[in-house]
Amino acid sequence: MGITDSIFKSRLTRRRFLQATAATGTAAAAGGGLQTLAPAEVKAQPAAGQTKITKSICHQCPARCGIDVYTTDGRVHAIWGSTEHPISNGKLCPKGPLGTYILYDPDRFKGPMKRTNPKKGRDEDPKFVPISWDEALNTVAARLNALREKNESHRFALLFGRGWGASCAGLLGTFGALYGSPNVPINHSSMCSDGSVLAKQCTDGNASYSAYDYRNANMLLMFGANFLESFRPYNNNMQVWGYIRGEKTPKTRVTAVDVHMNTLLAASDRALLVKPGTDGALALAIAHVILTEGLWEKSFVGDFKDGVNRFRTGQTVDPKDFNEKWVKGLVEWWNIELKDRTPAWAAGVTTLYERDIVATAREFGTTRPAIALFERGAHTHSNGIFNGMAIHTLNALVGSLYAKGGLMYQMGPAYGPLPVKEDDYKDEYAKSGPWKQFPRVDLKGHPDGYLLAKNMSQEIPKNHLSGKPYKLDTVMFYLTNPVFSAPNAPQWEEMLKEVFVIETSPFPSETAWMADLVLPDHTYLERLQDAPTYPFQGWPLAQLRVPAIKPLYDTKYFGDTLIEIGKRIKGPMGEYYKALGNNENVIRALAKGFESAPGDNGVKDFESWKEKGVWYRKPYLWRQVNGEFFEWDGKGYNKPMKPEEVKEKLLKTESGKFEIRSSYLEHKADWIAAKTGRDKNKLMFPIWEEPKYTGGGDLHFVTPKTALHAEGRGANIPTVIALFQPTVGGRGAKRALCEIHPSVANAKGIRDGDKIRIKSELGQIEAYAAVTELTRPDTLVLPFEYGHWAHGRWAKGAGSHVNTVVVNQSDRVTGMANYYTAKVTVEKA
Amino acid sequence: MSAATLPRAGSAGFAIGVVGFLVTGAWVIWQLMTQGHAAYNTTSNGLMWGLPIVTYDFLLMSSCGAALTAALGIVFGVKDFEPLARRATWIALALLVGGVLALFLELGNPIRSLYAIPLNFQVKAPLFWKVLAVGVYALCLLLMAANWIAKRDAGKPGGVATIGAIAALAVVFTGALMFATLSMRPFWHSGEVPVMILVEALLGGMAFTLLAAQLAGGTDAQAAGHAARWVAPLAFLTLLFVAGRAIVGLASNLDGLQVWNKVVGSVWFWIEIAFLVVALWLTATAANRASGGMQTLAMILVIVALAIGKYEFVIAGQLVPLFKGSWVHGLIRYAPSATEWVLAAMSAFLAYAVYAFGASRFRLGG
Amino acid sequence: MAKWGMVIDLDKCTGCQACTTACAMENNRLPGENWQDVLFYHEGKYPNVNMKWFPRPCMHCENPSCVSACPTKATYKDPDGGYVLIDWNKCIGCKACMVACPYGVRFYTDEKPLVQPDVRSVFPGKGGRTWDPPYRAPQDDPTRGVGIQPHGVVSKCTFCYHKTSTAPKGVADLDEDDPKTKEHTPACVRVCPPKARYFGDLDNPASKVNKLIADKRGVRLLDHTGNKPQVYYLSGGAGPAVPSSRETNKA
Repeated sequence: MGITDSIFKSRLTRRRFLQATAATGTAAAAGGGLQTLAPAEVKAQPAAGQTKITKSICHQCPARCGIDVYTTDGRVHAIWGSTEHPISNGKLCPKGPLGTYILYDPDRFKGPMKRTNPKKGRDEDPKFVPISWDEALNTVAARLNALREKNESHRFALLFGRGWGASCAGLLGTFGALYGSPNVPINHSSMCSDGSVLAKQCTDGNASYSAYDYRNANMLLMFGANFLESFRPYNNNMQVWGYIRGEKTPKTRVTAVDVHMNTLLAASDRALLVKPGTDGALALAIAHVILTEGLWEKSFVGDFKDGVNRFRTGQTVDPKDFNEKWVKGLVEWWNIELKDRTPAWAAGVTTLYERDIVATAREFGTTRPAIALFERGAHTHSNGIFNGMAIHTLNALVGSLYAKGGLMYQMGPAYGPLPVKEDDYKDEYAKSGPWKQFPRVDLKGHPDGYLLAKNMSQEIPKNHLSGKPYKLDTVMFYLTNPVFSAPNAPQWEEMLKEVFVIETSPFPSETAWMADLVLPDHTYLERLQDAPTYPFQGWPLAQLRVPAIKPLYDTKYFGDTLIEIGKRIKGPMGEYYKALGNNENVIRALAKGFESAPGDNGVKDFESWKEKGVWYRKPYLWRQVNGEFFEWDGKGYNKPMKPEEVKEKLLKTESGKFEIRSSYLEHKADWIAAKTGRDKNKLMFPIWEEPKYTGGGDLHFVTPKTALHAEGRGANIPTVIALFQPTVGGRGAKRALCEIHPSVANAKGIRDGDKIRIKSELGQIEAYAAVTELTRPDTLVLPFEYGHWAHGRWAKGAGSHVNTVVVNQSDRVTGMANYYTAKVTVEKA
Repeated sequence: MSAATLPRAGSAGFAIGVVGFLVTGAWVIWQLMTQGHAAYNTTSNGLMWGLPIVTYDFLLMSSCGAALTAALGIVFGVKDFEPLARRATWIALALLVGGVLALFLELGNPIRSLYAIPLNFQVKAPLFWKVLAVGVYALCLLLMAANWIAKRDAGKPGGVATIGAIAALAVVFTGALMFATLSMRPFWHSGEVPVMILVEALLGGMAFTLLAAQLAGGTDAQAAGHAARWVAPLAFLTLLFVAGRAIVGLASNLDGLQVWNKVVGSVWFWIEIAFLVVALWLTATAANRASGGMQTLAMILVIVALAIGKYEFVIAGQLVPLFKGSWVHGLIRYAPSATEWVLAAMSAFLAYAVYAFGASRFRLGG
Repeated sequence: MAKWGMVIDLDKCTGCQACTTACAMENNRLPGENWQDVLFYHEGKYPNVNMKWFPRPCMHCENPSCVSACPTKATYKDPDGGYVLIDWNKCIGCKACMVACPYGVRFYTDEKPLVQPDVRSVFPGKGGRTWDPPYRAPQDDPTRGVGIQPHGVVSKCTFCYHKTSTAPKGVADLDEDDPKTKEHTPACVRVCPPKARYFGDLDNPASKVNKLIADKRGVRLLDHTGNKPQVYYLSGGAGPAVPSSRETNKA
């Protein structure tokens, strides 16, 4: 800064001056100054009225913490964790208490809106005008009816993200089946974390996230999942942490693997900073050590018939010498892949020290119970399926599946059925109309697309724009904002310019900016809404949102919006929705199921569910003990399970075992080999494959979630912006900062706080540098949550829109969008 | 002194002072009305006392120094200062007014301070005692102004001057204690600080007085030239303090003293040293003391050097953030905002206007 | 009369900042006005980077340097509870207390906003207060620095005076897991998911806070300043910070 700059750090610009003249009335707001020449003693406000406490569920991540909402004199002023809720236990993560900002967001839509500016783009103001709900709903229904009449109902798509439960996302499948569109709904899960879901499906047959018994585990090995910043249920994870690290005897040991230093790695016993995309190599090396040193859990895995360990580096083993118990393909895997995957080899791939890989492996192999967990950091790469399978196989090797202190899967709640059956209301069109000939627009399940994926939402704009399989006409969005959050987000902008867009968010999101119609939902504190638990501890749990106050504005709960649209569709579909009635009927029907399965806390119907906010029934019904499976008999895990029962309920694979050699993949080997070029003899095992990085640059570009990241709902909260990145941020940092190692910064003349340009083959963005030793020298880290270009007055410009430079590549098997595999270049801007 | 020339110069000066004060004042008031104290660059990160406090402190300390300069003549009987005592006392009042203005526009609740400080009697606080001392000091100055300076032929003020001098010393001492008692800030926490601040106050007050006397011309200028021999040892002492603190600070590993690297690395520090050295040279020899032009220059150099020193002292003591972690990594970055600069100018104009008023209406010489 | 103290277990603290946001919402703080804050530090070079953090409320010192700096007794030590509080009707906004605090816990209200647009202009204050958020909490006690402050004053953590001062008399600890004291527990303690924070009476030999300080070698930070905080930190292991000899070598 020049001397004159430092002397005259003037902020008086002409614009400021004009604002000031206009704003004299609000001088008091700006702060003091001359008001205090005549000091007024402030008197305490009069005492408040009665405080009402209602139950709800936090909305800011998938954990679904039960909350107590405090309302006094019509103001909702406090949110605390519900003491009696098994996930929150009276506690909250940093996002929870900020929920009132979401309710009182000054930028919320006050009612339905219609676009009047025909042009769409980042710089095109939609020029919304308010309309009535009748007009809004009729507009949607008219479009949908018209499409159906033209036999083009498949061109209506409904995309959703954070669906909560049966009363919102749960209604969508029926809507699609009655209406006649394969694209209703399309879930965001391929942009979420399907990589782990598929990895589990391929190995143990469960297409789901895992539930965990952390409190009884003695060693936790975490790959690319930030247990202490974002891995859900985040709030409960931290409660667990306090217990396992502060109270439990013995103290649980933790090793964490990631690409930059964060609170989890710092708080663990061992931090392993791997090269992005190489977690699988580390897992393979750990498995190698477990086998060569004879550390595997023999009661679960099996053993050599004569008890002599023949696993030696580089040497094959005769499968006939080994008795496999609950795993399939262990020795074949060793022979075909694992025998050469030594710690020294892995050190070269991951850039870790061999000594640390061996120490980790020994600790994991000798400490029971131990859990290996992973999430996006490990699997949002082209080799994600293999990374995931390798890591999950570690759990099998140490016998943690369904064991105490291990991991399992989540049971669903005892919901009652809806009062109307979808099948009774299908007309001929719904049953066999022309729409059935069309594949889903995202080509999920299609050999030309992603045969094995659960969803492929990130493919939609590419498919639409190329017309393959077809072009969409109308797209509705519920709790998903891919035009901000998807890789190659600008491609979504192109698509949305061409289709009729219906947004249901309460907020002026990027989607709303591109929308033709806005049908704003209530915010969560105004809703009556159910949410079964995300995978937690296995036993079923379902919680409820009860409105804390009447809706502030003319908004409508999404479930009711959907039902109202449904009522206006011609034919029996309309009758279905008229019979269904409204959202409250749905919730009451769900709660009826509790009558025959009352919760442990006495919840047995709608009224008690509203009062307590949560229904749950412990325990998880199955457990593996020393290689035998048992079912809960009311008093204990005493009822032995036959292998057929294990196959039906727990290890749901073709063989009824944990398939290190995955039959699920093997059945599709031809397709996989054709699309990926993989070796048909190896592609069904967890193998090492070099990740295909995207973007064309020389530095890895990782865009994680942070502790204050609230899945998009945190974007417009000023307190969040003031607190972002305490580790590398600064008070008054201009935006969320990009972590860059000093070796890179010095080479490019970038100093701490400088503006930088990050480029990939897709485009470029600007950011501000935080020069720090906290990241790998080959990796830039920039949280993605703050890069909004819409979403409210505080959200705009708080960060950098990373998805402008992240190429849209997906794991061909899992369909997982490869977010963290981008490589970029950086220069001083 | 020409009775004919003096009033004209004084009136013009008064006009300049008033106009300058009104123009800068209007701007500052406007900024405060539209932004409040957000118009200043002070922050809760750790730079709480910015240029407004530096302005206040510099003017107040110099005011006390001017009063002590007068006291040297009329209380302690040092002949060199007898002809300068009236002017010095009036300058003390002018600087006090300017300083208090800066303080009042910096405080959150300035009017409240007038009664809350004396009435709550917080004897533990150096600032309580300082305000008490300022009260006595201001009263003494006003009494001297009314009964002695305003009356052309009044004799020496007597007891009031003594009390005023003691009060001035008390203001300087307690003001310095506000800084020196803070054990968590080694940059300020030292027993020599009150002595240093006293020396600098005296030097500053003396420099303002001698400058004004030089500009008044005639016998006042001659008296000033003669009295300037007292400036040299004071400047020398100041240099010793600065050098001593800087060397100790650079040598020390105490957390907080690393800011000395930044201070010594700044060109302003060396300008301060250079100005003091030149001023020392200009006032050390009788030959230089005889030159009105040299003396005027010397006093200006002293005033600028002390202003820089005061800025360094107040600001650098806060640049190392206390307990902020990575929120503020590295030293705090502070530069005064435009409003803060204009406020400093506003205080200067007000002080000058008051001085010029006295210079044109009263007999300040002899 | 209790002497409230806080214990923070750094072995359990996950650095999540829930304490910071819970405090911000309970006490209606401006963005960045972190009465409770979590400070992060790091040292070392990749790959051996060492990251540390600790939560930092007001220490409510036994010998508060801020009280001795305040010229109007606006900042004062309340012997009933051991709080250090600010009376906003006496504060003149001189910021001497901010300068005198070794722990950086104080905030001046009339500064540039950390986040634009300024929430104070989005939710303008009424009755001379700096702002009026729609979720404004009901408690208000300006003579103790509770509620939304008026202009021109300093504010800081009050150990949730509005909650803790109304706790049942004689109780040894304020624990969020005890229904009798849940609503009286300070926000930062109540919300903390790993239960890394404890709040209790340092003058009561039966309190959990005293037991934790004794068993786990609780330390005070910056002990060399002599302020003697009432917030103690546990770090497991040997308790590496060195206590000031003024405290350990009392004559």
